[in-house]
Amino acid sequence: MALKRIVIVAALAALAACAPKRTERESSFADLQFARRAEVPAILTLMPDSPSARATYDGMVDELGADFDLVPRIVTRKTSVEELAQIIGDVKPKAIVVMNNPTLRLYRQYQIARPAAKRTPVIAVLTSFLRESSEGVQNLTGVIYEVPLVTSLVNLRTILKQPLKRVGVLHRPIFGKFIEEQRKLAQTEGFELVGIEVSGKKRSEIREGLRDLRNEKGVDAIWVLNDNVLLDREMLRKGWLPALRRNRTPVVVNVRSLLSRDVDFGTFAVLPDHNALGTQAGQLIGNIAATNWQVDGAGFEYPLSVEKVLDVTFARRYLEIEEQQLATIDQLVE
Amino acid sequence: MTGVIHPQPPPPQRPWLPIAVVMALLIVAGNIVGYILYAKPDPTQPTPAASVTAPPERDTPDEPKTTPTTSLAEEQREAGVRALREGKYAKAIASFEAAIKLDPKVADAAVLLDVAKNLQEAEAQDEIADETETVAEVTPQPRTEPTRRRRVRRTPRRRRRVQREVSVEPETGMLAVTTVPAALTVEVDDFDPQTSPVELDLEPGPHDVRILKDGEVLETQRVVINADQRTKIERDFSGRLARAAAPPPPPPAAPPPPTDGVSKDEELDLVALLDRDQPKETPAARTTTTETPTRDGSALTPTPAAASPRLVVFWPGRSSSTLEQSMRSEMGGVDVRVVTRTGDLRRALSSPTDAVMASPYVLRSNGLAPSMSAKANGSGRYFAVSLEQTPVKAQIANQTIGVVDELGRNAMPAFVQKLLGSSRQPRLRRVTKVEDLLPLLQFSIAKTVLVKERDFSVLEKRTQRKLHTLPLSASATPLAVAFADGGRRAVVERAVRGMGNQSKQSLGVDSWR
Repeated sequence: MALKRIVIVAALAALAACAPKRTERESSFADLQFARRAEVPAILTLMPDSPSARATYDGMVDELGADFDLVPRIVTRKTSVEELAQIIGDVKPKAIVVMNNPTLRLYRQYQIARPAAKRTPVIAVLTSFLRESSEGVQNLTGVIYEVPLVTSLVNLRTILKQPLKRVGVLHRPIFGKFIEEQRKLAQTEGFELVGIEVSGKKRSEIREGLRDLRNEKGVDAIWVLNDNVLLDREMLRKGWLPALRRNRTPVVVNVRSLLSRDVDFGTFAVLPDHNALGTQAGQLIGNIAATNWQVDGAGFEYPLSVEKVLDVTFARRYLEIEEQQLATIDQLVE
Repeated sequence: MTGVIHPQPPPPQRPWLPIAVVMALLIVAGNIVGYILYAKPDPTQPTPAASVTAPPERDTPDEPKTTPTTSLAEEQREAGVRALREGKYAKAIASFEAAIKLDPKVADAAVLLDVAKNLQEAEAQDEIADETETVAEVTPQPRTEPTRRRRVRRTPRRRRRVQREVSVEPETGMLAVTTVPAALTVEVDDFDPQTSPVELDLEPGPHDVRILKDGEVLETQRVVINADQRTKIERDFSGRLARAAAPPPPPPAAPPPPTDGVSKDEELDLVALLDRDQPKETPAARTTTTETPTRDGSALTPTPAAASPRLVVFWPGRSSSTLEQSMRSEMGGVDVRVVTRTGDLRRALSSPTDAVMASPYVLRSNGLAPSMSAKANGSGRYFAVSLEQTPVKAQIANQTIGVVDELGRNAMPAFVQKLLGSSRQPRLRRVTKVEDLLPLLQFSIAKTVLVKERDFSVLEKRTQRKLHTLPLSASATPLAVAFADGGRRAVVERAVRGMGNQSKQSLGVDSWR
């Protein structure tokens, strides 16, 4: 038991240590003075002060910086609706970009509190499960944060010589609609998604579900859904990590830190390319501007560009891979 | 070994020797038993690739190393991480607290402190469980039906473990759960669900009890069971359930955000913590304004004489690392920087640079005059590609077209218009990598994509769907090089002409003229 505990602790510590150090340069972002340009339309970006948000913002600047006045404003959990209204009143934006779920929630409160206010077009990015999270927000479009399964699998198949057809996933019932959508998209590229519903309340479900997927369903890969409930600390400790010890089936994850050479977990991580995400959001804004700032029918887009990370030691030991294709992987973990 | 098991009679002056030998034997035996119980690998399985038992030391560049210049707070944080990995939670907590005291803003010490505290608490609970686990389920209690007293089923892992333990009389405590209304689901730890009212024999120690109705958790409680004692939980949910029955059930809460370390209810959100980027991925802060640098065509600023001459290569749509590596090795003495995005090119050109290699139209759009051009080793044709049907040239410009961005938002439409020979500027979706053209088609964002002939194989390799293609007569112009006035043109030009086959093949260049 002691050894097992040390093992799990080492794994958790390795995962926890992946948290970055906040540098002085990062924390100074909120204090930077951005010169305003009155001659071009203003785009207000409401964002957290996080690396992902900053990379996304940089992508937007590359795309739109020449033609629009991009105004970033840091939003925290302490920002009130009144403060947000003050910011919007000061900037007078033609469109508003909101980054992450708390910011979107705050913006929804703002819309509810000011029903008579002009409905400025809103573009949401870095928001988990955007369709569900954006219920009630008007005049909204955006880029979904989750990497589509088909994109992850196409990238994995590109480096494999062995077949990749059946892919298993554990999911809670509330994700049924999302899983069904992913199943349909994956089918177009010849993948079959095998889902097992779990309640998310018992660790044993994870262990048994993974055993079932590998032994009974015979899946070629396992996809780990970004679900905080299924990936909480206790689920990791007593569900996933024990079940994935000595695993030889590739595990596709969409969280970077679930792939570590110290932990038997993710094999292949496919992550949003935040800079490209900003460029994509910038193009959405460009399209809205071209249609006189109307978002009707714009809908949501999937992210187009991803970054790939491979546990190459695992891949070389247990998988048949095309060595030449490793050049297409952004980061090889050895 | 025989000599050890049957040692010679100890000389009178060393009466401690037999005791020492016996103790040594006990230690060895203990290690062997420990190995068998905990570490013996499954003979049917090979050694795992990246076992969690691997040493926790990391030397990847994404983890900062402690240096003499590291601040005291940072050192404390590092010490805390090391202690955390070694399972020394008290030491880790002390280190993180010291780090926070020295500098409240230091990295994620607060989050790590929280992790350490949680792990310390979990360890304490595990220790209690360890002590009780060894004495459980050797002699099952007979079930007494009228009181619905049950013995909960153990997981297979735990049962196997128990079988290895020495037989000892079991000590259990009883948990009695009564609810109003009755017939609610009672879950204890990860054992099989029961129905209230119920009495359960449980091992002494903490247990998580959940009471549910139709899958909805009504209450979660941690109880501590003592041996030979009865612990009661009596709950009345009648009022709450009646209230809940009136309005429609609330929709499932939206999942917490991906980039915050704290969830909505202010509890540690581990996944959000894990989702944070690596430090090396952190982009540099913009220290100026949102204005995009523009070039007036007045040329590049050459590098100072003390530095290696610098060549910037713009290689849109493809991976830069392999090409950069081969060019650097084949063009000794020249600092080669390969960039793939238009924004990166603009930034690269704002630094001292002696030469730029790119398509002539890219050079001109950045105010640079091509003065050396390549002879391409392929046709350089473009293909129009669709998933539905073979594109019709006259209709392409009327649809949204996907293309790898080479010129940016304003110049690219005119370039594609010219490529198609169209009378109107098409609506584009620009991507940064050739492979990203495929999702444009898969997600129906674009009907058609344009791709250079030599890049078509990238799409072909990635999809099992049929790609319908239309070759276009227009060709991509081969690469060219522009030089900075006053820069070290001769050095760079010589290196470019002497470039090895690997780089030339990657660039699609046959020779230079």
